[in-house]
Amino acid sequence: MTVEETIPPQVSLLQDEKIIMRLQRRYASIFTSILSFIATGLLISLGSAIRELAQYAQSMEAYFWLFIYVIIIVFACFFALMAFVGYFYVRGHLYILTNRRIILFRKFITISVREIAYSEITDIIMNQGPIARILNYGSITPLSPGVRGFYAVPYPYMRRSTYSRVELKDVNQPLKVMNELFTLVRFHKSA
Amino acid sequence: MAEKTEGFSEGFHLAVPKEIVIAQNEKILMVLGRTYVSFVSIATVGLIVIAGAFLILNFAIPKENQWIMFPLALFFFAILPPLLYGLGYIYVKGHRYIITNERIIMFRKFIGILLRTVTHDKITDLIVNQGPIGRIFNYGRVSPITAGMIMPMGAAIFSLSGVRNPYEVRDSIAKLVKAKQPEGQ
Repeated sequence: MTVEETIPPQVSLLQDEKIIMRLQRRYASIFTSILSFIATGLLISLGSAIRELAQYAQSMEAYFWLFIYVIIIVFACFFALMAFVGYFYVRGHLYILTNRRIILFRKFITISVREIAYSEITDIIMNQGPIARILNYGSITPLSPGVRGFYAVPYPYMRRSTYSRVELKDVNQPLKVMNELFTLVRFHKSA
Repeated sequence: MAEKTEGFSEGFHLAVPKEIVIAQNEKILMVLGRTYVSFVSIATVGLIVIAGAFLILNFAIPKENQWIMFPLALFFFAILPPLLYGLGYIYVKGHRYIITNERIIMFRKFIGILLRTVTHDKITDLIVNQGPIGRIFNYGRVSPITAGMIMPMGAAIFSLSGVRNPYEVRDSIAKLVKAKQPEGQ
């Protein structure tokens, strides 16, 4: 199977356009997203949950362990479901670096495609969290005057979802990809 | 390692982190770091605010719950300051700002890695910010603004924060920006 054959039908290459790199999102990244989502949920709800539990503690004494088991099972089911759905979500991400532009494609329930010419890139931002550093993946955001980045808090669970669609999210070897991207931007500037 | 270039002051040449790759024919002009005092000033203000809140809480809390004040005081005044200043040192050491003849690289390595690269020809504005303590100790924040960067938060995060001689740094960047941008702009 050639590289061109693996391109989704929604993406069309121009004449003489060649693919330089084809990147996909790492599946491992979905687990950090799930964990951060659960941690944020717990932080928000823990106080009120403890208050509720303390209120009914005496009447619940007989069912305490049953309650704990139910909570564990609910969390396990939620995690498994998120991991299952997350697999298809991650597989729907495709980032193509051609000799002319970057194509960011995402197909999961909806379809979103962004194309950006190298000459329009103003900033390149690379962001790696602590787990991403260990597993060597990270996100690269090419900013252009049309897509302005709000990056006050550089962690995925605190970003607005719309901005997450404009980055090469959780790709392998982000530093290498970023250098490659800079080389392409540089080449297009001098051309 | 950084090369020394004419026209730039001494003390602007720190080691380049291994994560950063310099392109072919690209020359490093300056390698800057963040000053520790820039973090200490922010952390100290934070601790003073906490101390004020602690004082108010001490008067407001009922007598029967006064016992909680001792462990709180122990944490806020004995454990938190050395932890904050110690971690702050590592945080500050993780900052590197590399100015080359083609671009500015802003690098921060602390728990995670954050990296911004901007070429001189895309810079539209240069902003220098100096607080009162920054004026005394001669450090400040130099923000290279592009059309893609939202103000003010984006600029505050992705800037050359807490650099020494900020006006000298600004002038050096301005020269490079002028040289890279076409005539008349």
